[in-house]
Amino acid sequence: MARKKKNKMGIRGQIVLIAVVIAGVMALQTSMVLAVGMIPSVVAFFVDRTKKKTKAITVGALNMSGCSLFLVELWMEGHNFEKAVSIISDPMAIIVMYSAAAIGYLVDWAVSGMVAVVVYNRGKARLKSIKKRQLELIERWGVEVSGEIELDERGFPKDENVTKEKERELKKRLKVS
Amino acid sequence: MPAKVMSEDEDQNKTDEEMNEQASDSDAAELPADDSSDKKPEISAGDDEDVKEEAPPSEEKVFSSDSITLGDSYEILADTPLEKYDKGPIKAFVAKAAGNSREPLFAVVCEDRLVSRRHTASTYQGFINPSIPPLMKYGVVDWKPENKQKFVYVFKDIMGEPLMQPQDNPARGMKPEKVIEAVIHPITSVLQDFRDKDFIHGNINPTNLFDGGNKELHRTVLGECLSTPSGVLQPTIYEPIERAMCDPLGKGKGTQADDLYSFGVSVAVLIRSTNPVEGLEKHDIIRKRMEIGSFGAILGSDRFSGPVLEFLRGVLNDDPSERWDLDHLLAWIEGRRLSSKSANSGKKAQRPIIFNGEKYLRPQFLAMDLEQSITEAVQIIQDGTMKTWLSRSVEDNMVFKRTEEALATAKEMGSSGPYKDRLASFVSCALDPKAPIRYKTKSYTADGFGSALAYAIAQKEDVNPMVEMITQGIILHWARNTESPIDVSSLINKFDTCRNFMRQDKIGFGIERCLYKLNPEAPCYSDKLKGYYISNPEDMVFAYEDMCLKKKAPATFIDRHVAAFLLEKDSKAIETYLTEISSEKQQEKILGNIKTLATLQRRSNLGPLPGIAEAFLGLLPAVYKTYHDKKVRADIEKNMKRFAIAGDLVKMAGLLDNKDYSKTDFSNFKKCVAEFMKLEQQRSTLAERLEDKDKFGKEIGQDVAAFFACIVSAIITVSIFYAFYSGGGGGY
Repeated sequence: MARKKKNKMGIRGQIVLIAVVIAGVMALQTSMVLAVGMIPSVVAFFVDRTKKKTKAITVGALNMSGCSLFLVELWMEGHNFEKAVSIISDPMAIIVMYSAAAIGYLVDWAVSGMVAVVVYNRGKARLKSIKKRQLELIERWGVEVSGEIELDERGFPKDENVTKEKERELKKRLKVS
Repeated sequence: MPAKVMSEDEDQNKTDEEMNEQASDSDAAELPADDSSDKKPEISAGDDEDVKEEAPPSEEKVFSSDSITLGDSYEILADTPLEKYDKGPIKAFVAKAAGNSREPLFAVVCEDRLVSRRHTASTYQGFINPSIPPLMKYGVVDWKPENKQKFVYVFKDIMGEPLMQPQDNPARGMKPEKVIEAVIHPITSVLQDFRDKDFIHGNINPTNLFDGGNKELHRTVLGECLSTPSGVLQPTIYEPIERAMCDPLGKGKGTQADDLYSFGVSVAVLIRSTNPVEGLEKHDIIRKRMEIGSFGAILGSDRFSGPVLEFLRGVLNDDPSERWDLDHLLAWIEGRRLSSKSANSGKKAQRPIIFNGEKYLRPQFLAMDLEQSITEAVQIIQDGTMKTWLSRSVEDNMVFKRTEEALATAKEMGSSGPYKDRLASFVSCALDPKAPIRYKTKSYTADGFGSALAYAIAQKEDVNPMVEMITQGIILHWARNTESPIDVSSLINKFDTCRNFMRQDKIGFGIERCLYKLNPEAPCYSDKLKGYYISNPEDMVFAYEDMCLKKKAPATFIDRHVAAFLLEKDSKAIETYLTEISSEKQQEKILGNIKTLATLQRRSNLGPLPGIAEAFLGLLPAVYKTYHDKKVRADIEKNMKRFAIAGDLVKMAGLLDNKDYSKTDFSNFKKCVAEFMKLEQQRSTLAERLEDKDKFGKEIGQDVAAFFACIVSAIITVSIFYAFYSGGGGGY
């Protein structure tokens, strides 16, 4: 039951699918070109494990821009089957379309790598500042501010020995390298 | 130690009448002419301010810094003792007034353990009688030979030689006529003065009667009585039977009838030629007096006739209701003939009861000895032997009934703990209701209990029997059943209160509180104040100030004795802070201490106390820790140092007791705890994510890449369309 529910497409999805099918039938020549030219994007879609399918979007966007050159040519020259077949059988066209998709892969790798380095360094800086603030709080308010030791009703440690141990432990934990 | 005269509580309560009488004292015509210039010092310690105002300081401050001085007026010559005026542990010394006065003076130096009668000193000062030494001044001095403060009285020396030395045979064989003229007449006038002001001497005996410096004995002078509790140094023979049964320290204040009796015995000793009780123990003398009456026991075979016989029969009557009072004595002096009945020595049993190997015919004698063998006493009480003896042999229904009641009352409190001692005490009281309280080896009257307790505590003796006397209701039982002439109603209230004090173990209660409740004249016996004579809260603060200035500050200022003393003297200064003072937490204890001393400083306008304030600075770090914020701690510490330099305990305590500070501190602390915990959560998540360096930021990077690709794609597509539609198309 659960499986059936998962695979079941919504009304909106069904409408979109019907619209795409109608559009595809009505513009069959365009569909032919796209079906061949966008194969790398389809592959990227299935390979991409991310939830948001960002890699597929990157590859697809640039793959689409590669296909657009030949789609315009098709539309300008009568939008017929002969032209569509000549495009998809032209190795040069295939190379152009697939190269655009390859550039998409490259962009995904390079940009995400660069951004990740920046974000990682920022994360490290944030961690450092958190520790610094925590140490400041301990320095000014005592180790009891950590909320990690048992306190009396006035907020003071019930056991001084535990306090000293905890202070050592916390300072070690929050040591800024 | 500070050389200062201690102000007297009692002087604050002095009535206008007393003040007027004091003023008239300085005009006394009887005093020798060369004394007139030295009248000014005849002002009590309580009038120190007056003394300071009147004394021309540059001329009178002739004492060296090493001398022992009482205020600026008198010097006590510790190296010149006056042994003839010594009374046991109370020593007398020559004293001299400031200036060039040649007035003979002597000082008596009191012992802390024997509580001196400070509160009655102002009354004594009001007496103008040539047969008692005028009290010039009294107060506390730094007693250098013992390096401690002592309470002293300075008297004008008009006394001469004692009529009898303690080691002399107490049978002087003086002529009755001489004694009537030189002893009875002047001392009667003294007793008359005493009666007018409800003053009890409590120490009338021939060793305390003096010839006034005239060997021919024209006018006897009665020695002082203020340096010890009433009757402490009075030999047993001079006390009425009931007081004679007491331990010396537990006789109580006494009555004028007791003074008159002592006076009668003193006269008897002066005129008798033999001592009929020579060689007898105290116990046996009392028995003999009970058996044959004091008159017979004291005078023995001596035979007198005429007025003196009448006098002796009258004043030595053992029945207080039949004994002569002062009116009888005055009438006798005027020449009226008075008869006196002989006292009833009580019922005697037909058959004896055997107790502790001895035969007893009188319940009073048995009552005296019951404590000697508690086990046997309890046995004869419980097996009915005593009841049978009382009903069949003594045939005194009252005694029988009282004994039954005593037995029932003792049982009411259960048979655990000191039941046997309690039973023996109750039965002893039933057998002889005129006798003092008897418990274990102790024997006191209820109003003498305070003096005895003070002595025991000062000497660090075992006070457990005394504690039991309060907690087991021994004294209350005695007070409700005694036939003693003392007023017991106020004593019942006092001991009831003391019993409640004993039920609480916390600081400010217990036996220490009972001591200061029952003996308001007792100085504070705290070990922290050793060497100081503390008679009021102000003295205490000054003593602590002196101690702190000498860098001998105690760890804390208020202990059980100090708390109990303050609760009795100035309860408002301490009772609010008792919980803090008795807290186990050091910071609260210190806070309670500083608040109490600050309250005393404020209430009594004591001026700056930099010594105590500095001592507190050393203790306060524990209090600063009651604030969470270290910045607040630093601020408070800074201010404390400022206030300490000014010696302002009030401001120090006020700052520490600021509730807003504490509230704000706690509220900020809670906010910071919340902040820390939030940060900790962030830190932990971030640290966890940062551990996977390959994944961290990848998602964002991919988002950025997708966005970038979409933009580039859109630009390329639009450019292509533009190129084709603008006519540039025609192949790639």
